[in-house]
Amino acid sequence: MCGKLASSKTKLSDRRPHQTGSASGTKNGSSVTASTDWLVDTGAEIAILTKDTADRFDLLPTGGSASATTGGGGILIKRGLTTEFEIQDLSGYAKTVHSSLDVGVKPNNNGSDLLGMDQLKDVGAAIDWDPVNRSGRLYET
Amino acid sequence: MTDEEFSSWLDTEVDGNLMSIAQRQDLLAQKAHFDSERAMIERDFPNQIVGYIANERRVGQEIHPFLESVNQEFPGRMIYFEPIRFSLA
Repeated sequence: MCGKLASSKTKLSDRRPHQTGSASGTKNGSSVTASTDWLVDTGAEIAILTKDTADRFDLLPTGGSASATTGGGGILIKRGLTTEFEIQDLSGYAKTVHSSLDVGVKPNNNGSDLLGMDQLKDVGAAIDWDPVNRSGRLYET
Repeated sequence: MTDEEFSSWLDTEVDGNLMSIAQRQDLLAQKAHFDSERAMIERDFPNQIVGYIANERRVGQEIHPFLESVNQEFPGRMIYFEPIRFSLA
């Protein structure tokens, strides 16, 4: 299936939608691409990366919050990273899409790298997800 | 996240060359403005994003248009913000 979503590769009991994709940017002037297991989070208004994923790139900090996420967690807003993931296009074929919206960065490596609804809106995509069978897709709207 | 945790986190960012000292100071100064008005902000701006940048308060509805707007108005400055009575993720 194009734009395929599945359960986490590291936690098979997880009923949330994941997709292996990547993040790209630069580090010390050279292009860098890092593979990541995106958790597609319908409760997220902004993509949020773990510290280790974000620190693989030279990103420009533009702001921050000590209380922006559930439970009062903080994020720093950074620019310069491009998320990459796959959706099913209107013809039913796989289409790799990119978004360069600012991202939030966690202070630690707890949890997943989150692909937010901002990113889906940015590329014109929607989500189908069946938590019973742990299967679904991202598709072009 | 407590004030101490936030400040310590920014120290770590500076130590790792992920943020400049000036950016850290700017962000903490904007947080101080926010904290001094916190009671009013939480009373008057429910379900909105409120931030301080260049010592001025700005209010928005959605995170990306909000960030885009303040960054265009004050390029190079840091914004401290919080979503009021909701979370971004």
